[in-house]
Amino acid sequence: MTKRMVCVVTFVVATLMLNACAKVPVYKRGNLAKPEMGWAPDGMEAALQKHIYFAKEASSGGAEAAGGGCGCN
Amino acid sequence: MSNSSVSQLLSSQQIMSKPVQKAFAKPSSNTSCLMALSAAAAALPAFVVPAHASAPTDTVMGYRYSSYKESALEPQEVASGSMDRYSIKVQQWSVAVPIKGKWLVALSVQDETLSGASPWYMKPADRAVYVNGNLTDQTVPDYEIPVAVMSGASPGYEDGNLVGIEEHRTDASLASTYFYPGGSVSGNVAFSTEDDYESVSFGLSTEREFDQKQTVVAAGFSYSDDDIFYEDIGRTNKRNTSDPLPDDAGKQNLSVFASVSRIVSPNAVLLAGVSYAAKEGHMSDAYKLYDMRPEEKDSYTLNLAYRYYQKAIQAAWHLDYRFYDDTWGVQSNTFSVALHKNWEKLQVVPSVRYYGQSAASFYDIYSLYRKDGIPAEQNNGTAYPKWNYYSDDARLSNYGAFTFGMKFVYKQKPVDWVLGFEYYIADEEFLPGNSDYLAHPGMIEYTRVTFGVDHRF
Amino acid sequence: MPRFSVPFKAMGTPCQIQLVAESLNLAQTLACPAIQTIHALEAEYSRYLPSSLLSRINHSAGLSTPVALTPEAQTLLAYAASVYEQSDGLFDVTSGVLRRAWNFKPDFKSSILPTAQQLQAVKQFMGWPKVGWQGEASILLPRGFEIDFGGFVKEYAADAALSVLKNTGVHEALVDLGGDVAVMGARWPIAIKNPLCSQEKILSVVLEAGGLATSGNYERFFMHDGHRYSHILNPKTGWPVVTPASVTVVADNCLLAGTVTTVAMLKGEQACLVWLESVGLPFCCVFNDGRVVSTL
Repeated sequence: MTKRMVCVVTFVVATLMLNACAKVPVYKRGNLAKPEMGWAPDGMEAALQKHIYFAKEASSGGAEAAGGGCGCN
Repeated sequence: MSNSSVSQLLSSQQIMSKPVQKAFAKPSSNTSCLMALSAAAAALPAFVVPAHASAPTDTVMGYRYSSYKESALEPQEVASGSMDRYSIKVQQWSVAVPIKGKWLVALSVQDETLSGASPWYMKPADRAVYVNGNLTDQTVPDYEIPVAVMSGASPGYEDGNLVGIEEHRTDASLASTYFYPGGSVSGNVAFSTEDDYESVSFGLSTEREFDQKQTVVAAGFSYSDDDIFYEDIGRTNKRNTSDPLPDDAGKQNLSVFASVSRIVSPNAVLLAGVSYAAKEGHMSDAYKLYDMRPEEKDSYTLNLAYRYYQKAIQAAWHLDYRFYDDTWGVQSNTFSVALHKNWEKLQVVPSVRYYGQSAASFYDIYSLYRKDGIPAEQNNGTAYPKWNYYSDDARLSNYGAFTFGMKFVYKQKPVDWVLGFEYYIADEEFLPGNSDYLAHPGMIEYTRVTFGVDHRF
Repeated sequence: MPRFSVPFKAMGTPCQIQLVAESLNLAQTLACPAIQTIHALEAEYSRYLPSSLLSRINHSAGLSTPVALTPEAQTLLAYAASVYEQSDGLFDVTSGVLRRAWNFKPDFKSSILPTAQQLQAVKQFMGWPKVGWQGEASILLPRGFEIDFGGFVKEYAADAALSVLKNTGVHEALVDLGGDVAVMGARWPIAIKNPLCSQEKILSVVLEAGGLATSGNYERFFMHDGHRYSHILNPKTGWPVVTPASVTVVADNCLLAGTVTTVAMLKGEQACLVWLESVGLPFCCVFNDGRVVSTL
């Protein structure tokens, strides 16, 4: 997957999202409010995985604050 | 009005016996009529001052204990030193307290103990030399078989030096978030300390909601400042002499991110984000002999996250993708899929993750030759150039990795019991199109077990 | 934590607030400011209290000084104006004067049908465009006019009460004002009653957020010559509307739901489905012959 293709796909997706007209009314959002629909329902698990992958792989980050460093990398 | 005249017109039995007829028009939620009325209603005081609906209401305390052990190397992969790799135990504590519906304060502490060996450097195996069918004392390097010279493992002495002391890392972070109508602002500070490393970081981020939370935009930055040093005792052996650690070694990292998320349907939300980070400082690995890395690394990521609730199975799908690229030449793609299935008292979460990365431009499994290079005449006519930067760290090579996870949560209000398993395996073969590689003994494989409990108040 | 019900009376009908709390006492304490808000709204927009804002506006009709509007009243009037537009003039806050022509008796046994001249005489004193209000912070009615917020104050009060509960930190609640309901935070089951036999229910709806309102003709109608005339008058013709037995609508909030049901009733049995489908919200419509059409 080339870098350029990824840039284009992400940009298109972001634009589509912003332009999407279908408004979902409040009374239909019951399922979205369920905890398992959150971005990271298990905070400690997500934090641990983020740390392990940072230590064992060469990539880091995502759309979130980077946090501090450690000697494991 | 009398009840009898009502019943003359119609008896209730008549209503119930007629089947309920569904209208054929599909309800759509954005008719112009409805939009006009909603807009007029939106100005009313009952709707204009939304409460801080984003603020959580429960106090949550949690604990996790995790243990994993990287699989040992094979004897033929090791030139000297221990075959065992890291054995790690992590404890996590966290508490999140909402205050007055407007604030959330969260404290997290992590304590990790780590013991074991890691590759100090890679070299070609020694191949026995036969002369006239007789084994000689001589050996020649077999460049087809890389082997690892390992650092010390269990605490003890090697060559008179103390090696392999159990390492201990503790980190703590404090985050506080303020919720106001339409958004929130969050600040956090964190400290991390271990035998030979200290880090301080802080960050700020904000979120803003639009269209009754139909769209959420978030952005933030974080900055960290790390100090790296050798302890006087422990791990005195097996250091990096190619790029020795200066007295005031350290590194700084500044990162920024932005994301937009949107409700796309009554059962789905989508998020797209970008981040950029600039790192500066001493980044060569202090415990690898032939490791010289640039003093700067800029990187960026693009990520997509999709959450979809499938009513048919009453479970939520999580799909995540991240693209990573940096100035060291590493490019990676990460795909994760997880399914969150809930019953009354039990939650089960199976998950799969694939990670594939391309090597850093200065990665070479035999970086020991890149330090000074080998002239052509000593290398059968092919010069092996000296490089300014080099590293034989498996974590900088071309490879792919799979993670298979399974988590169980037993819900016993107000307590959740958590049990999780995760199997991770990295291999050069898992990267499509990766051929012509030498299998690096440093590829990691481990199984993690996590046990934990969450308490909600 | 358990759910508690706090019953009270308001707007001439039995009401209740249900919420999740640690004890009944705490539930009652939490419900108190919300109930006060409902009573305050009732008092502010009551036709019968001479001190209410509504009465002051009506008593100043034809005089020289406009009556100042509170910001809330201003936005409520703007909302009513918007509903007038969207309903092609059927929803008209000035149409209350038509009652004078019909002279509805409390026992509804019979009424004398008005003559055409009587209707014309009364119609001079109604018609929202004739008021000429353009959104100002004050209003002056022409002589003989009067306005009535009865068509939507109850539903707005349910939303306002829910908002008060939200502000005091309650996250799961249901406000039920005689069948006009506003909910948040939990799965609340709501039963829709059979308009012709109130002990029975037609449908059960589970709502997690938003509002539900029902309008019906089962309580107010009178018989004349074997015909059933509802209490609801068409402002354009001056005559009672043959309304469906009941209409229930679900929307983002109770005010919207109630507005749509009110207009559906005004459209009458023949035209209400077209209206409901053009709005696009989920609804349940029970006709006088027992037929039920529902998208809930």
